[in-house]
Amino acid sequence: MKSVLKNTVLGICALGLLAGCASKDVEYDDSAVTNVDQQIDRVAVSDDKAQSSALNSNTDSQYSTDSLQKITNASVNGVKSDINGKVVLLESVHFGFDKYKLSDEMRKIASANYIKIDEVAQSYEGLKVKIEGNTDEWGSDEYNYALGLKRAKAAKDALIADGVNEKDIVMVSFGESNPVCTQKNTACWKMNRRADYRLLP
Amino acid sequence: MLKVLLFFIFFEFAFSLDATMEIIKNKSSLPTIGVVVANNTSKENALDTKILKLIQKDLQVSGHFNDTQITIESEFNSLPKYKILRENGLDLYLIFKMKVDLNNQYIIDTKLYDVNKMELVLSKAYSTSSFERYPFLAHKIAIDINKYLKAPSIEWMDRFVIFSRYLDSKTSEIVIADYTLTYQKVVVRGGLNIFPKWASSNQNAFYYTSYKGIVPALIKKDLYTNRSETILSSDGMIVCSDVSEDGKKLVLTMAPNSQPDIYVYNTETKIKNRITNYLGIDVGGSFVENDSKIIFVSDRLKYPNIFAKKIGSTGVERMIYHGRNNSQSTTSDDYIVYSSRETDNEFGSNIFNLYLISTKSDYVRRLTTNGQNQFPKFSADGESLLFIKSTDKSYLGIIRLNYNKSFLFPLNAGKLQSIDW
Repeated sequence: MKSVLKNTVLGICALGLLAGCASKDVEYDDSAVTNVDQQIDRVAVSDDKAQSSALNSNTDSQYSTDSLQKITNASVNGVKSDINGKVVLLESVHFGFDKYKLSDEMRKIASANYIKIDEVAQSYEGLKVKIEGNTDEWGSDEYNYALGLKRAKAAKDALIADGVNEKDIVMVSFGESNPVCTQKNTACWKMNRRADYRLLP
Repeated sequence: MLKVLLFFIFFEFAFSLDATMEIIKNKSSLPTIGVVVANNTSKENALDTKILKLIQKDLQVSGHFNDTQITIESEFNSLPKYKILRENGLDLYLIFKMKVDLNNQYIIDTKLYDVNKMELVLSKAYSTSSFERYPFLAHKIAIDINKYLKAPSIEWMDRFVIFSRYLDSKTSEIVIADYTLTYQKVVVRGGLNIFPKWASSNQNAFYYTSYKGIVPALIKKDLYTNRSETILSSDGMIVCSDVSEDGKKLVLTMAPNSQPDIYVYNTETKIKNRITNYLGIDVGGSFVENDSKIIFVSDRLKYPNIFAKKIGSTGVERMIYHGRNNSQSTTSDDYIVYSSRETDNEFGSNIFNLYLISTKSDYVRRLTTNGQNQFPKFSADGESLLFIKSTDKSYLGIIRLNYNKSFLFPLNAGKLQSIDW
């Protein structure tokens, strides 16, 4: 009798264990709701005003890539600088694909710019020249910023060789961030591979 | 009797374990999962449909599931119609419902069923106070399903990506987003802000280059306190291209003498160590081999190519022997991915593609086939690759390297400049 009872109890325990195994894999988490806000709520935004309109827009129209498809005629040939009412146009120098050396033709343009700069400097003390190097959109962006810098340096070296004091020249590279045109063709890419000259009062 | 009982218990337990593990063990027979929205769910903002699509996308991107489109009318609290689910070839079945509570919290209740075992195996709820954050609800759900199956981790789906995008000439902003670019939040705006780079794996802060001053400056910004700190400035250019594992060292491209070179900067000692000394272009460095070596891009062969240099030594080793224009590299253990110009005609349609090579063997694998593919970035676990693809618009690309699958997510505003995750 005792062994029958013992076996019955063991059997009931076994059944209980098996039932537990069947539900063991189920994870019930009704009481603990996973909230996704914490990480994002902590993010501070520098401008508490309206979000960028690029984000507010639910359509592609306002800041789509099409909005970059335009020619800015203002700087196609060079940059105009206004120094005390005197407007000076300094022509941009252009470069070959992946190149940062001035061709003979571009060297002449650089020298012509020097003459204009020197003329303005005669009547304006403390004049500085800012040279901005630019590239087309091909290649990696970091490489393009360096390439733009090398182009700016080529233009800077030409000015120094012509007689401008090195301390009066500032350089910056905008890489591919400052196109004068955005059409996908050879002519446009050629226009973007350039160094611009800008006079700083 | 006791021995028989113990044997029976062990047999039942072992069978249950095998049934679960078998699902993911054989990669040629991935579990098929169906995801449905319950009948009695809130339709506010069409959030239910958005979440459904994102969960399906996440499961697809994971590479651990076959997903199938099913249309089944079902109440959330009803038992599934297992027979119909089996006829549809399902191994797993997820049903969810959405509600908005009195505090305007969006709550997603989920139930995951194992169709073969005819059991509810996972029941969880997720919430957010903001509609825009719904992508993270979907990602969390997919991660938990994946975790339940003990498949390789896809926790990276819940992390931010950070990118800069050009909006106009000399104008760009920095944005954090989920990996599908569905959620986006601007964190730096105004002027030209480029090359964002996470300062550490916890994503509390990031570095970026700002053009607000007279010369470019490297800024470190805390994402949660909004505090900014100028690290360095440099005439011409300055970019942080890599951060060491412990966050203490940065690989920089700087041009203090108008000459772009690679530097390693120690954020604690504030000392910078010049690594390259070549008169041309050296950029885009990244740490390898426990931060003892730098992989970088240089034009010392008169065209961009990938080189390596041991810190402290003078010798430079060429890493890539094919292609005539190889720029932008990323590293993970013994592997390098770089972007290579494919054709001599740089204005052709098949222009820049990504390649994966091993530094320990001749292994080479082409990862993309068309378009302009740039800015490759390995994930922390080395199993996925992030990159930028440009065709008619900008796309964030994800390549799941072990599954040979590639996915693209469009950026609908602006042009991607650089990205990190």
